[in-house]
Amino acid sequence: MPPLPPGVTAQQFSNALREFGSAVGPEWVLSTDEDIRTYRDAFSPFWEEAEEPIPSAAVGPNTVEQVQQVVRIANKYRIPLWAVSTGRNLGYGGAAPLNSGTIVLDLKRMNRVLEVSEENAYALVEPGVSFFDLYRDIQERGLKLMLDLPQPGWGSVMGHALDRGVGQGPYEDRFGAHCGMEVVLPSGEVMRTGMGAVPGAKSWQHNPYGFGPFVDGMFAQSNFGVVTKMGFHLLPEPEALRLVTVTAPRRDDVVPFVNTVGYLKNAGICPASFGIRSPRNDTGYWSASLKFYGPLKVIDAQWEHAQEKFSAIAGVRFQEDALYRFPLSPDAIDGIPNKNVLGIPDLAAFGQGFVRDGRPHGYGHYFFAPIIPMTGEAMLEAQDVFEQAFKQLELPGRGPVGFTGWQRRSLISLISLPVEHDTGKAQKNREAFRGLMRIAGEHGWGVYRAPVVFMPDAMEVYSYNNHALRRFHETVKDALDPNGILAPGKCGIWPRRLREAREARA
Amino acid sequence: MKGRARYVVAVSALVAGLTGGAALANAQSHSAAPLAGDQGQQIYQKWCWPCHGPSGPGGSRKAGTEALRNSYKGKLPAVLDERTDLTPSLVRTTVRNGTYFMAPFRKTEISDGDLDTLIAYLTRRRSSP
Repeated sequence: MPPLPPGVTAQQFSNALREFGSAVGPEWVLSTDEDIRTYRDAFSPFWEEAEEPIPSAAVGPNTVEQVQQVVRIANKYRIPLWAVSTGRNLGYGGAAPLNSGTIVLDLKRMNRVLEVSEENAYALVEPGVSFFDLYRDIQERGLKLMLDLPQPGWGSVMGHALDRGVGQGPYEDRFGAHCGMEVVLPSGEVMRTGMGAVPGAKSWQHNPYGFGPFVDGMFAQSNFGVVTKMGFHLLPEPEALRLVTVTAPRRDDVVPFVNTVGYLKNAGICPASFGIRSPRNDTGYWSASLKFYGPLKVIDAQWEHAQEKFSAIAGVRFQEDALYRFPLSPDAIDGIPNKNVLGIPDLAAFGQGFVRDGRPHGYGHYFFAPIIPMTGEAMLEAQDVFEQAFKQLELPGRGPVGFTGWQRRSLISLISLPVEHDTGKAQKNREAFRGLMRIAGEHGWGVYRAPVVFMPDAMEVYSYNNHALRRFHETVKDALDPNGILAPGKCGIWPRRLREAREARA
Repeated sequence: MKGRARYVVAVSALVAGLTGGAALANAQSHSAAPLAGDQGQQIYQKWCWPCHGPSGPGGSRKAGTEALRNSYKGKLPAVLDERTDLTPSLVRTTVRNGTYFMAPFRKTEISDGDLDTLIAYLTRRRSSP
């Protein structure tokens, strides 16, 4: 028997489900035990433990009008909703809510690609559109556009951006690549942002700002509304892509090495996200994987310029890993191991991550991902701090070996912890995860996103001036959502009526 | 894209000719290729193939295929739609419950009707009732 929403009687819950059914069709109110199982987080750090969040039901609207009705019914019964788009954010929460008893607002059925413009290189999509869906749509129309992707292609284009996920190409800032939103507010009212606020707008996906305050950021990593449409700028299909690796031999090379990478990125010479790794041995202490997208003559010149800049480091080495010319033939696509950098979605990351050394299975993982400055000094500090943290927290290994360059002046240090179905091991990993967040916070680092069950912990680190930022968030929350029905506690933002629960957790 | 779609159909026909009805879905060139074949094949291609299709020649390993290869060690085919032993209940339970790192699929993704069609496709070559 699924848990009821807190403070809601069985009769009220039953009445609410009936009204939800009237709004979306009874077959899209999902409340059997079999249904509920599909809304658990398959990668839950609390798997099968008492604290694992279990929803009470799910509701699957197909239109924005149905979303409005669901939100109004939730207000009537003060039942919390947790919106998911494709529900495939594995490692960061999947389709499960933060609190047991919440109803999942499953937006997967809203899966329409509403518009794609080749001329201005943009798309307007609904929440249930995955990267696979948008890619196929663009290919079927024969448009010369490229997607900028995360590794798993089944994720939502919108949901990934709203969680401020990372792409792999020049449009790596997925939220930053959006242009215009439609939002159902907690009252049930529909709002359009940017130019979309002009009735009959002709430039909704052309200019993000419109007139007045820019509010779009309030709907990413938040619980202030349900986003039902989003525009995205797309990359015109380039003529070519060159993948290269640059290696520097000594630990002390890190400062000029990272400075050079940062210069290339900030000068627009190599704007795509990149990886920096350190095997910490003499085979080449630092290596950077860089990507150059554009006309062949241009990327040839960019690569030549990059080599000139790196050559100030004694012993630096250059390797050309691949050169792709677009459009690619199906034969060529088939033979490429990492299709994501070409804008082609797949799920190959799961094959690389979980099936190793002849072992058949694993249960998944979740991510600790603090942001550090894009400087050599910061990388050395992070390596040292996390190496000590790994020892202190009894984690295997020496800490992060790789960093991802994201945004123009920051790096993400990505550390994954395995999902365990043994309670003792799972608890140890959760304690380690919280320990990593605490230690990072003590050094001035916060995470860029967090698994749902750790969101309140992540926000605890952002505590400058007695949590002035969170108090601001909650002032907004109380004004927009007085009944506290949208995703209570998401990103540490609790509505007034549930803030005592946070104090109790603390 | 039209050229790519033609490629899929052409290679599919070749595969079918060589193997006496082997899976059309295996002719997909990549996970996001256009969907082809009958409805059951298309559901398989969309939802299963990205993890359970053949691992690519370029080193693109399919997670489900490699996990099953490690589990069965050659006793059963690693590629799901080459199996002849799948039962409706096994497919239904695995889709709705998941297993190990395979997450379950919700009705908003694979509806009950689509799941029935998928089961019919995956059990079409079942050797015994």
